[in-house]
Amino acid sequence: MATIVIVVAGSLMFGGLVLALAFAVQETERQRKAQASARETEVSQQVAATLQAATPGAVPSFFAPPMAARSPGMIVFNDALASRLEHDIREEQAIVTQFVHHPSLSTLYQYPAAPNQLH
Amino acid sequence: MHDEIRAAELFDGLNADGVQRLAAIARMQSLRTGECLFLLGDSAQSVSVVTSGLLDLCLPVSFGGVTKDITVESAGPGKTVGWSALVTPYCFTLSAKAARPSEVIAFARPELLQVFAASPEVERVVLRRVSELIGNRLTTFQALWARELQRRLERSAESAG
Repeated sequence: MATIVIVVAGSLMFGGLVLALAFAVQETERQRKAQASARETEVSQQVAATLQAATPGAVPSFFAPPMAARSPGMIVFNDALASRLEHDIREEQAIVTQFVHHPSLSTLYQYPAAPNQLH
Repeated sequence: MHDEIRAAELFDGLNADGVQRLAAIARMQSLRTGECLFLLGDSAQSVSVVTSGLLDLCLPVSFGGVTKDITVESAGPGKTVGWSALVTPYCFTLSAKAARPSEVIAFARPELLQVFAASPEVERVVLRRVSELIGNRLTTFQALWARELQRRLERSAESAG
């Protein structure tokens, strides 16, 4: 009888511990997700604020003048444009990879079949 | 874990003892699609190796009041992400996000340094691979920059002509 009581009590304690552990893991995971989300938002806001505060010409531009300066209001930075940017980047990197492994003027300045039309 | 470490570019050429030492400090991490491993600007405390899936390395780009993460590089199985954890100022210069469900094994810098202290061979292999990664990244972006300068000159010439 005493053995049965001990076994039952032990099982209940073990079950309770497992349940507490599960709740703790769940809470930790929830907090981790919340922190990651908050940090991602913070970085995006910092980037936007930095670029907004920069005076024209303060940030050196290796690229052509921003599209907004030439045709304000005509270009919308949507997912389609972002995908196009990424496609052009991948295309450029594929070409540049050849230069990385075989540096030469010809591999540096070779062009894809259709010229990039970012602007 | 041993197989994943042997397949990693960061540990290419490591002997069995080195693999064993690294396996002892490796921490597996799973990422859901869209989940970030680290963000640009975060303190870099761990270097990771992708074991499955795909991670996108991104830079935030802002235009017209809209900021988006643009993928500049992708890392699949065997590839290294977060090598900034081994190079001062130990700060991530890109964000890493899972393009699909992925798994990585992470190596915390303090533990990695202890392995290096115990095994100079592991240190030699790893730091040589890190220098190759950095060299490739530098050359890639140097070439991208040179090509963009070339295009800018050509556009200026077209505008003037």
